[in-house]
Amino acid sequence: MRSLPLSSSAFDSGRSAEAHLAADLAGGRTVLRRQHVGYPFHVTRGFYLDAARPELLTLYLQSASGGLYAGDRLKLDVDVAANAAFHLTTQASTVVHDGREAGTLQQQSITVGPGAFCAIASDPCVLFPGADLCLDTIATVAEDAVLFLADGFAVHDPRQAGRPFASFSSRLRILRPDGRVLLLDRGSIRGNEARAGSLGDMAAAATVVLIAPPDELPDVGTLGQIVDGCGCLSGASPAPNQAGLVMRILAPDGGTLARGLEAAFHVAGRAALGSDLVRRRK
Amino acid sequence: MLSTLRALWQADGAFPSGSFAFSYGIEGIVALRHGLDARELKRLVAAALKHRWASYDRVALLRGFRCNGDLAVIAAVDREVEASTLVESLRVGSRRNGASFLASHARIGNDLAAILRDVVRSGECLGHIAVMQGAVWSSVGLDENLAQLTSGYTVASGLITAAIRLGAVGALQGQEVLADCLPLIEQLTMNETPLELESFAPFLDVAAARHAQADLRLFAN
Repeated sequence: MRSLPLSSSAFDSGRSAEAHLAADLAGGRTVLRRQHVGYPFHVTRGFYLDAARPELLTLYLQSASGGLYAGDRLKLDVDVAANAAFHLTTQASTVVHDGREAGTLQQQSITVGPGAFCAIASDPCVLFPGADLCLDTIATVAEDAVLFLADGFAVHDPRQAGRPFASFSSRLRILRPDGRVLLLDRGSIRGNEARAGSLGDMAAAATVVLIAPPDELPDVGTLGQIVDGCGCLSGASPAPNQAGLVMRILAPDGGTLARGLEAAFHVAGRAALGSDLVRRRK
Repeated sequence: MLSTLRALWQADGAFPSGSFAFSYGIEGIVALRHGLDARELKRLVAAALKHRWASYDRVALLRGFRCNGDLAVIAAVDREVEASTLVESLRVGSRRNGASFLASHARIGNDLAAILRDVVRSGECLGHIAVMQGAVWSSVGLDENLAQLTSGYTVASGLITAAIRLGAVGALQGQEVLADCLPLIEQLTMNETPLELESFAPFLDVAAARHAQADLRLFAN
C-alpha cells in the first residue's frame, strides 16, 4: 500500500467552504492532479488498497469540525478523468447539528470521464434534533463510465426527548456530457413526519445510484439479498433511461445502514472492476 | 355543475382506465408486513398522498393540464416523470396506465387523447398517467381544482381497492379509510404547487421494488 502526501487544509472565515479534487490516471495509477480543501473539509492521504486493481485510489473525506452546523454551506467538486479509478468515502458518519433556522447545505458536483470508475460512498449523516440538511448533487457521467453514489441519513434523538430533526431534503441530477438527463431524484421530509409511513418503522434511509454500462452492473436480486443480509430492508430496480441501477435502503439504525451501504459498494465494485475490493477500514 | 359531473365520471372506478391492475406498491407492503390493518392502511394512504401524490403526481398533472395541448411541452413533462420515477415497476405501470387511459378517451371520441395515443405509439411521448390525465382532463371541461381532486381521489381509492382485493382489509373498513382521507386530499390540493417534481416515500419505493422481484403477484405493480 502506498500513500500520497497529506492534503493541506486552510481555515476559512465563517462556514462556507469548498473542496475540489481532480483525479487523473498517470503511470498506471490514479493520482490527485489537483486538490483544494478548505476548512472544515479534510482529506486523508491517498491509499492504494486493492492489489487486483492497483490503479484504484481511495481517499477518506473528513469534517475537521465535529460535523455540520447551522449556516454551513459546503461544496465538493470531484472530477475523475478518463480511465481513472477513484473512491471517496468517510471514516464515520457525519453528525448534523441543529439547523437553528439557517439550515445546512451540502452541494456536490461530480464529473466522471470516459472509462472511469468513481465511487462516492459516504456513511449516513446522523440527524440530531433540529437538524435541517439539504443535499444537492449533480453528476455528469460519460457513456462508458461507472458512478456509485450513496447518500443517506439516520435519525438520532440522544436525549430521547421526542424532538426529531427539522428537515431533510435531497436533490440529485445525473446527466450525460451532452446534457441529456438520465435520472432525477428530489424529495424532502420533515422530521415530525418521517416515521409516519415514509420510512415504515425504520429510523434510517439511503439511496444508492449506480450508473454503469449493462455489462458492469450486478444482478439486482443478488445486490438486494446481500444488502438485506446486513439487516437492512432494500429495494433495487433498473434505473430510468437504462442508466444502471437504483436502490432504496431502510434500516433500524445508522450502523446497520452503514453496513448495508458498504456491502452495496463492494457488490457494485466487484461487478464494475471485475475483482473483490478490500474492506475499507473505518 | 357539468364539470363536477365530469369529474365524478373520471373518478368512477368503472371508467376503463386500466388502473384496476395496479396497486401502487401496496401488494409489496402487505407482503412485507405479513398483513395490514385498517389503521396501518390509513397511515400508508396518508403517507402516499402527502409524500408522493401531492408533491409529485399532482405537480405532473397540473403541468400536463397547463400545456394547452402543446405536444412538445407535454413530452418534456413526460420525460421528467420518466427520469424521476426511480422504480421500474412504477415507471412501467404509470406508462401502461396512461396508455389505457388514452385508449379509452380516444375510443369515446376525445381528439386530444387520440393525438396523444398516436404520439405515445410513435415514441415522441411516453404517456405517463398523471401527465396524460392533466392534458386530457383540461380538454373535457374539468378545471384545475376538480382535476386535482379527481386525481387524489383515484390514487386513494386505487390503493384502498387494492388492499381490499388482497384481503388485507374488509370492504367497509376500506370505505372508512377512504372517507377519512377525503379532507386530506382537499387540504393537499390547496397547498402551493412545488416548482419541481418531488417525492419522499422510500418505504413505498422499497415495497414496489421488492414486489417486482416477487414470484407470485396479483397486481402488475
